[in-house]
Amino acid sequence: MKALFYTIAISISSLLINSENYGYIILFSLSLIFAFLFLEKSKTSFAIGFATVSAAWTIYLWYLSLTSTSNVVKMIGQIFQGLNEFNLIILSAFLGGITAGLGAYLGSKIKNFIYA
Amino acid sequence: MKIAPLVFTTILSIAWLYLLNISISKGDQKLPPLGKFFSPRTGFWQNQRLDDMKAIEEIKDQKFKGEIILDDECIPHIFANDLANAYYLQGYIHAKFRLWQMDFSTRAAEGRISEIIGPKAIDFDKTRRRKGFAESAKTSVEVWKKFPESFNLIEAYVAGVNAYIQKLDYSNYPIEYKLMNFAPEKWTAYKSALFHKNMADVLCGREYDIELTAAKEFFGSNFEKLFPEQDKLLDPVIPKGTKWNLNQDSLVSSKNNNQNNETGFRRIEAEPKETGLGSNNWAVNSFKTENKNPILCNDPHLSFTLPSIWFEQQIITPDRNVYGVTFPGIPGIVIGFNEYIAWGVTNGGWDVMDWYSIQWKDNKKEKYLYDGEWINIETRIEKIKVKDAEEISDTVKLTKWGPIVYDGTHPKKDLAMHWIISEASTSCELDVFVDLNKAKNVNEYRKAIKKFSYPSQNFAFASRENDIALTVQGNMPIKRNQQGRFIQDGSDSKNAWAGFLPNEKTPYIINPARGFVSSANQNSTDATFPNYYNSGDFRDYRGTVLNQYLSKENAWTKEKMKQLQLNNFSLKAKTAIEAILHNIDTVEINNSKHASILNQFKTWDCNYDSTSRIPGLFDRWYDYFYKLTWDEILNDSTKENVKLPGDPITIQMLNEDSKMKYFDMTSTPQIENGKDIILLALDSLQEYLIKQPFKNWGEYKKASISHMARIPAFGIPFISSSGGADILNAHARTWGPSWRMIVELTQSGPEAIGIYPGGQSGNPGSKYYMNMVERWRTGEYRKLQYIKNPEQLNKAISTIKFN
Repeated sequence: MKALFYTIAISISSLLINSENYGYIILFSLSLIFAFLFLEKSKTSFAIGFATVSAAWTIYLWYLSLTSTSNVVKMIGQIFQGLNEFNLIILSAFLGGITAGLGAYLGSKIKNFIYA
Repeated sequence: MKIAPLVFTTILSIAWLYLLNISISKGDQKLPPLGKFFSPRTGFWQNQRLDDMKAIEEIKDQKFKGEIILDDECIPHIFANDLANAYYLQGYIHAKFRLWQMDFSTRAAEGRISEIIGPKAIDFDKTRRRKGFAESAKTSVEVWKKFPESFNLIEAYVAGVNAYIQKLDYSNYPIEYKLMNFAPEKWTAYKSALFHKNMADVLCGREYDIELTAAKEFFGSNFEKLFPEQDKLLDPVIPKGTKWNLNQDSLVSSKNNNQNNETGFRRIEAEPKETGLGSNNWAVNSFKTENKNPILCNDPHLSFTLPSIWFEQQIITPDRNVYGVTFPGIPGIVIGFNEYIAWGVTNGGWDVMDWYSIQWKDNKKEKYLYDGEWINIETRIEKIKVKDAEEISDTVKLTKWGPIVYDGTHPKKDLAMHWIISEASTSCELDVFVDLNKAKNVNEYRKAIKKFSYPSQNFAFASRENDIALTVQGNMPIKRNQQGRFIQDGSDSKNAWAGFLPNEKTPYIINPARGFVSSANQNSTDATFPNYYNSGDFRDYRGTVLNQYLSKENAWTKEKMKQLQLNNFSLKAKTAIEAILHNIDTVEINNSKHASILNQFKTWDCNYDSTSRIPGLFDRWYDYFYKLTWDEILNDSTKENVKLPGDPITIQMLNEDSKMKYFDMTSTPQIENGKDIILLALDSLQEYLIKQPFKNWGEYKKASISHMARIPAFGIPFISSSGGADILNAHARTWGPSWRMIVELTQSGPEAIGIYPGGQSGNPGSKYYMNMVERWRTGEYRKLQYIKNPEQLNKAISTIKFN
């Protein structure tokens, strides 16, 4: 149940963060705090953090692409070694997922360290 | 023991977050920090949504009011109660669609590109700063402030740009900002002035003083023959035989200037200037049109970029209803029409940038000789910020003539540059378009353009009242014969310009008997004009062809004008092929191993159609022929600053004096003549065709349109198109007709068609980014929607209301 709270909290917050320079730090910090509050086992917390944010971002970016007529993503793909739109979505989701995963892992580690 | 994994995870996390926030190098390019660039809410993903336009958008609490309606081509039609409101809206819409372009081009003028892209732009920035764009822009703004009414209009435009900038955060920055990792700056009148200076550099920064001085030394007594100032083809802008209302006594002595002809100087440009740029404009009166309405046409030839240099729009206020193209960065319509008149511009090409040799007292280079005295140099320290590197300083030495631009190109001396933008203007230059946009007749047109000081432009004009006119407008320096053609002695103050011609004395013509006016960057006048001006390197082919067509036809229509703008006939090719046939007779051709190619040349109509192969064959052949002819210069690295004779004179040599010594190749023991060079060039062509075969001219020409910052993904790498340099349809590889416009001034209002190779939006992902390119390429035009009220629009995609 607590893991569900974490999942909901981090997925929503990850889609609301709108900071130019500190977006990933905020995402990491929120994931750490939510994990501290809601997650127990550090071994699974990374996976939960990673999977949740990756999935949330993938769905959101997929939606953005489907509802847009812009070619800008294709053009960006050419700049990044010819990556296609799908790969760019995966790459973005991966970056967010790793950040959230690391935050969750550290959050639960700290929790275990304090309460052990 | 539990602390170890905690510490390890903490370090790993910090490293990861650091990695997301640093720029990564890819070759010589820097990618933006991956974290913020890939962020779904702020990174490039959000640029997919920048094109989303609401049917009605309301912007409240604005100081300025009005309404912008975007039609189905994304062209804004601005409705406002007065001009200040209209310019505010214009500034807003320029920024909305072209902010990055405006910002980047003014930073380039200012010499601040190193801040964005790093050390590779340092030389570019140094040259820009030494040439003094920033100082000139600051001076202009101070002059503008002396005209409060005009300055208020500029301030309104500036406020409009800033109103848009203030709405932005990183998530909706144009994509180039995100890729290059910098942020927009507040717009100012100074930036608008910088844009004006930048255009002045594009249009009047072309001169060959250094190269012509070296050529004069190299060619000796043959120089005048090889570099005629008025060649045989010339049909000047102002018709031959025009009488000049200019008292020669009021000018300086027209005797030859005392040139010191010092050679050994070199030009060091970070980016070499493109040659061959030009433009066409013309107007015919009602006596020469089928519908008995005057028609005006204009196609300025500029470097192609995406976003396009032009932005199309209409401005409607109680005192004006004007349509045309604008430069994002300055207010007003630059080329266009209103209910009463139409106007278009081409470059006049006067030489208004001169170089003076500076004689130093000693190696310290702190004192220089001027009128027999050693004068202390002044200095200006330029601090150039460099991305990911330390700031550098550049000390600019300033003389009475102007700045020293290139260091150490001569063992003992340096060159100081004097050019027109360093002369303080006496009027608010941007007023020209304020007044011209609402002009109703030829007198108001003449009065409006008087304030246009530089770069010199051929302003073609037509009115509903059936007046046509052409004014070569700009501040024309008063010079002695040949003054400023070569490097001048900077120790003698007599070599300075003797002021400027009074405005009404510059060349113009109103309602000529021939029924048309035209310009295609040829010389403004014939040799009888009393003041000396040097017309750069423009050539006369287009002007001559244009005037021939305009003279012959007496029932012009918009459709016929379209065909004239798209005309692909090459007079250069025609004269060159005539010269080939003059040297090689039919029997020789048929017995030659090059019979096939020569026969194709012989039967060719000299049209540069994209689907024909012959223009490619000719172009390649001519390139070899030219290089083999001038091998004594091109194959000698010490002569890299010697100006080469032009195409007309090279072809004329082949026709009239094929035994001229320049045809002899320096690398062979035997003596070659023109005919030998023709055949050797054909040999080279045959080898080329084996190595790099091509199907047609379009494929051979390899035209393209680059993004302004040379980001390949945002440009068009290849366009197959007709036309070429020195042709009316002057589409060369990277430049050409940047805006085609034809306006018929009927009694019920203007009927206009136009097109440009780009699109209204500067957002590369937008459907309006390059949507006109294909239509432009195939010679299509759009009907320009000149409306009086919003209901007349065929379709609106968005309305922006400023309340």
